[in-house]
Amino acid sequence: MTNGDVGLGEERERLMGRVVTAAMAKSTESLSKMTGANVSIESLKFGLVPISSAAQLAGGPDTPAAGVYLSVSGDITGHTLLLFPQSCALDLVDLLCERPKGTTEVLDCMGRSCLGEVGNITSTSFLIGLSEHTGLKLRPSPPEVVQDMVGAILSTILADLGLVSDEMFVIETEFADEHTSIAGVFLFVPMGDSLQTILSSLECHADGG
Amino acid sequence: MVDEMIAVGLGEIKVSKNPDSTLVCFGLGSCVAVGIYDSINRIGGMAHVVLPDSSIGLAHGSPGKYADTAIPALIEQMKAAGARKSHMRVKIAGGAKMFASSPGLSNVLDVGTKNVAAVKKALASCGLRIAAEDCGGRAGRTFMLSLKDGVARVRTLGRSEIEL
Repeated sequence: MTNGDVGLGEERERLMGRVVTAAMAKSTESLSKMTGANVSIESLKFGLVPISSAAQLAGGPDTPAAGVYLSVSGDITGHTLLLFPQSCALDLVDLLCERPKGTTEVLDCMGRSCLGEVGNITSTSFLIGLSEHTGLKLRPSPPEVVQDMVGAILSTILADLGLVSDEMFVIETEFADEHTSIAGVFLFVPMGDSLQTILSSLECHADGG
Repeated sequence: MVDEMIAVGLGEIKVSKNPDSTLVCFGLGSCVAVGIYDSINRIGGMAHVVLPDSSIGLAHGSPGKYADTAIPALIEQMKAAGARKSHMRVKIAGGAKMFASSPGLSNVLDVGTKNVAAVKKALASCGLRIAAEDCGGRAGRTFMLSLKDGVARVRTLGRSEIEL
């Protein structure tokens, strides 16, 4: 997936790129404040991908992973999922707890809580950024942390999406501080007409409407 | 000789006549893998079912995506490859509940259970019985069917691999 293969059209890609960049910047700012670490986004790619290839994200469908799920309601409906390969989830807990990499070996209750908060902050900040650029009212649910294979975690979301679409909107990210890079995938899955609503609202706001 | 691994992705149906191949559905959550093996002709097929019923949702989804269309399509593809229905043995796995209670997934929280029920119904309608299954629960599975001998294996994180 590259930003050039978005399938949204050039102007909409540009608008979406601006809001995705701004929204993810808001996420890292919040994460930095939460942790005291200097967290940044190393790389950022986004676009539409077929559902059939979604399970290839985050290391492949049988890769052990940890994910934080929030649903979105309000002017649009959808799902968000912050997904890390298991090893990266453990590294992220070390990063946020300012421990040497490799300290956390199992995602225990504390680790799950930590990861849940990361997902909560990342997803909510993204939605705030999206709301600021579109004027849409968006309400996230409380986070739910899930640990299993990537394909298994994605399956229920894809089942819901599969009722109405063969494509999903994906943002791939890499978080880092001065010492560590952690690859994660942030999935934002607008349902039904919600993607169209977002794009129309972006265009309207860009025109000053 | 290393087995040929044939991955069956979301909504796909695949059939193989290579006795040195293994059909596999990776990372099943609420999805259900249906494996069928003709032990006489050593032909195997697998469907990766995502949803129970083709009458809801997208009209143009692939037949493998829905339980009610996947089973007849899988059987027909196996017969086209030379398999005989009287030799077919069926094994299934998957249909877990991956999320506890998230409100945004209320449409599909129980889709795993529904997928299993729909697969069983479709198999019965086609006159096939299930020889073995590993379904339900809260954990993901990887399901593999060897065409060497028809043995199916299920891998789950945190549990020893089991044979069906």
